[in-house]
Amino acid sequence: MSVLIIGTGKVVDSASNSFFERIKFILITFYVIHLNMKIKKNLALSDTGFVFNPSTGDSFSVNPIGLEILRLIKSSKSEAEITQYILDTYQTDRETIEKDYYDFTKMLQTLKLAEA
Amino acid sequence: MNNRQKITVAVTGLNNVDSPGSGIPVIRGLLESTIYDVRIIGLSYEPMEPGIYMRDLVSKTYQIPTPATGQAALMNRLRYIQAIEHIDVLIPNFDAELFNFIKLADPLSKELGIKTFLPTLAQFEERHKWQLDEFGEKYGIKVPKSKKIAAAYDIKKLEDHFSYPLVVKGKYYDATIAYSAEQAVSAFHKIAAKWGLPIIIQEFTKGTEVNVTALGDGNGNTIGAVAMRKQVITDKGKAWAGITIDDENLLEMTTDFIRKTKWRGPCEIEVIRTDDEDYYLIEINPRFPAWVYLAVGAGQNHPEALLKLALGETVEPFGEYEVGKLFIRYSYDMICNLADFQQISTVGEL
Repeated sequence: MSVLIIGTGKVVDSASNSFFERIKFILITFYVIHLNMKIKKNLALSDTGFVFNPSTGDSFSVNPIGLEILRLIKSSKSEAEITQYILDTYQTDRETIEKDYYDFTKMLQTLKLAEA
Repeated sequence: MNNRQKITVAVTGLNNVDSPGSGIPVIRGLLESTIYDVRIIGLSYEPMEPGIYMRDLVSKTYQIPTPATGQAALMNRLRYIQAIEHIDVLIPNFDAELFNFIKLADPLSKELGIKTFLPTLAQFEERHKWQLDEFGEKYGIKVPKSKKIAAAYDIKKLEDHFSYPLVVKGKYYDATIAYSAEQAVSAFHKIAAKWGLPIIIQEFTKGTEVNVTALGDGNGNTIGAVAMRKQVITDKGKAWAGITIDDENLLEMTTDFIRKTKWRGPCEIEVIRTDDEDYYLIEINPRFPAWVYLAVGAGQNHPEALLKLALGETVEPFGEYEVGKLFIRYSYDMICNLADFQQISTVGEL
């Protein structure tokens, strides 16, 4: 599976205060390319980058590129198509993308937003 | 809305405090009924229950004797109230009072014409926390291991069967996670002093707590079921905010439970969903939960459906509900007159 990634991804609890412990944000600077994985079918993606998993009630926030990538994956774009789209649209190098993609896709799996 | 059938409904659980009863949310659902034009009679135990003073929701409130006083005193009080108010349906909302109301359901209906729609005594008894093991085995539902104890020194004896952390639970309310024998003993005394014995020791199950508010028709059919995940939890473990979710396994577990038990009336199913997608039933509350108004907001007015069932009308099961609907609780200071407080404290009605 060839992979390109741009940027870094991590999950941060927004506050240690228990009132907010359920709300998590995915902070991602740049982004991804290919995912040979399936995003959960009923995952709700809003135009503002709000991601809601209706099965669990988990919600997240992604930046515009993250949203773009998630939508490409959800619309069953192939790895090659997504890769090409990112290369055409953003200035980055393959090595950076590969590294960050790995983090991002792992995170999606950990959060049960995607399956390998 | 003007063609709605006029009806008078008595409701308990007016303690809309930080660990709230479900009376006020039930009342809000009833007042939003498109079928019934509901007048609410509040039934309270303490003069400081906030619902007593919510005059836009509750037309009149009567104090009733505490559950420990017994059924005869309760029946006498209800005779007095009924002579004035002509109540059609009564909805109790406290675990601790349910035994009395279940026992009185027949005389309430026959003698006073007050309808209820409650679990049977057998249903009420078998889902008690202290016999969850047997309940799980009987109905094929996964439950965490639990034991009831009557003395603090029994905690030591259970150490061969349980590892820490474990959960110390009261027979009706309260639960504390204990990470050592000392903490468990402390929690035992604290909860026993408040709610009495037995105390339940339960295996701690790691995962996410998800809950369902549901309504069974007594024939095995689920009239409504809405699943929720707590978003904000108070230090008492109560949901201060929550969101409706579409968890098929959880909803199937609920309908399965209602089908097998032929559950009658409202209930709240409390479940732990583990990271491995296993579901463990931790509690069944035989009444509406305090967050039941979320079900109304998501498209299933369970309190209204309960009225129809209580009145013997045919009720079609709800279809779907809106997923991703949130409730966010808040606190609010009412300014009340001393005269009102005095009236409910001394005369027992307001």
